[in-house]
Amino acid sequence: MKPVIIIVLLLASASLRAQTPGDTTYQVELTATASPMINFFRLPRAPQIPGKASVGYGISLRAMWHPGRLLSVGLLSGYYVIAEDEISVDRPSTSLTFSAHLAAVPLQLALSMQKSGVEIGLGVGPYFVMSTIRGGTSASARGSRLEIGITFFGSYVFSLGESVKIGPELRVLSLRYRGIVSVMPSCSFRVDVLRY
Amino acid sequence: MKRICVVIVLCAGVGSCDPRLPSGPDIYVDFESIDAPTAPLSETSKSLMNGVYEVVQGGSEFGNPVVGKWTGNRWGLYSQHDAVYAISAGGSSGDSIKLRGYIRYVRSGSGIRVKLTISSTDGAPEVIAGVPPPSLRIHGTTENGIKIELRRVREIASSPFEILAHRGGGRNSDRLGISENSIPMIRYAALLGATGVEVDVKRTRDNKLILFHDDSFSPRTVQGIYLLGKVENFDLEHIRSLGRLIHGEQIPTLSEALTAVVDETDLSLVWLDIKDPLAVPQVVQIQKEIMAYASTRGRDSLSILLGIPSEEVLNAYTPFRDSSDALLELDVETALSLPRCRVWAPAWTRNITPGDVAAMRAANKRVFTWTVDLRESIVSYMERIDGILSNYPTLVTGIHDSRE
Repeated sequence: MKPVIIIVLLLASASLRAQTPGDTTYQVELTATASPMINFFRLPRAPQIPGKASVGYGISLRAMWHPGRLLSVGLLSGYYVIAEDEISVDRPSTSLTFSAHLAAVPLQLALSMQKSGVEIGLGVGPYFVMSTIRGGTSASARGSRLEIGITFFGSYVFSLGESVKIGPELRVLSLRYRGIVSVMPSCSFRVDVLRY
Repeated sequence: MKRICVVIVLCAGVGSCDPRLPSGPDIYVDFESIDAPTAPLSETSKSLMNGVYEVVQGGSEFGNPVVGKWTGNRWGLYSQHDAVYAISAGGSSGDSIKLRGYIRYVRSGSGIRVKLTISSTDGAPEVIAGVPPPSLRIHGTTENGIKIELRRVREIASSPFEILAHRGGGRNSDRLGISENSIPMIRYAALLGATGVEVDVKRTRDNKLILFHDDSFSPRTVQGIYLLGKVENFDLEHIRSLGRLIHGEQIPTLSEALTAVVDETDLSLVWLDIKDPLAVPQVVQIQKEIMAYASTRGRDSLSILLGIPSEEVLNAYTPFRDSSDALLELDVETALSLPRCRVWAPAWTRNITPGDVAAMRAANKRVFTWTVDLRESIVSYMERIDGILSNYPTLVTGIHDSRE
């Protein structure tokens, strides 16, 4: 949490000098991405799974208010499938198989700085983390929890038209309390939805 | 410029905050390999070593005095100054006694290895032979060079007092590599000086009872990313198949834990902390089964008490008031009214008057309190009541056993 606070403070202080008083154009941009995820876990996902990495996928949506300055603020959300596993558990007289699924939905405040098509930013706030377990001899079980996470993103976009941009984006999400770090290389699609 | 200074000051303030506790254990002692080259001491020899020891050297580690006593084949030293204790293993080697182990500082979570010796001129031959030595001294050295010298001065205080380890072992779960509310922690509790344990009971979605404190699974308490959120959302087979306690132990059922108490410990009391009134009928059933099993194992002195912390649990307990032994945390009048309430155990924040204690004792009931961790408070309560639930059972042991 400490690095997050420092970064936010530095971004805030930078914004104090990031003004172009003559520029009064404001815009709202929507950015959508879809990508695979490479996830790294501090501890094994389950007792039967020794590996500490998994491959998932996710979509991300970001609405940024870009006040014509270096600094943008906005909201970040999406849906990430972090892990899916088929787990077999041996019992004395039988063997049980479970299908387990872990997903997360970010509900974050995003801050970014952008210039000449390059954007670097972070989202801070909760992730709604959800698990689903099916199989065995029981009915499926679901669990959920809000946990604080950070999402770092960096992208470069180039214009396809007056209000549409496209380009590569790299996102790194950290659920430190849960011990999960994910890397998401993706392609982003950005649209100016409002300009005033 | 002013804005930049404010930012720098804020960053410095943030940078100085590090709430992380030191983690442990980072010392590993292979007790089995220590036992092997020495000959085990007889029970008579061990009893000769048990006692209160003046700390001639090493007072910076233990304070003065300390209590030394055997639990099984492990020798423990318990400070009455702070939550510091030592566990070692060994036995006779020729005409001396050699012990190896570790000292653990519970509040900080750190520890160091220690070697202890009773030489042939300090009483070892007599102890080995099972006769009282004229004097008994233990010399030792920690791995960072601190000298220790202990001189036995008197017997351990023999007044009965119940020392209960919180969540199976107290704060040691974060700092010992053993999870709270686990069977390994229950086994370890006696080495911490505990005479009993308090454990937390939770109900799963399929109405099975497990030992677990929190309402929800979290990375603080369990391994397994698929176990998150409320315990009551999962069946027992999900919990046991897809998760482990934070230090890798299986999450035990209540039956498994109580069976371990009977078979693998000499603990005299188990306090079942139940927050869910719907769990009460099944707890009563398991309590009955385990007490019957304990009787077959010669453990008739074991008490398993159904903890009643709230009116809701009390209401659920009422149909079983004539058949189930209980421990009540509510008012003294209710405790006196329940025929099978064996212990009244209010929180330490409640004023426990001498009149309340006298009334309970006149009704052949005991009085405990919880959760008491400060030395001064432990000393105060020890004079007035019959037992304490603490996160630092080693400290309670050191204080109680060293009394004159």
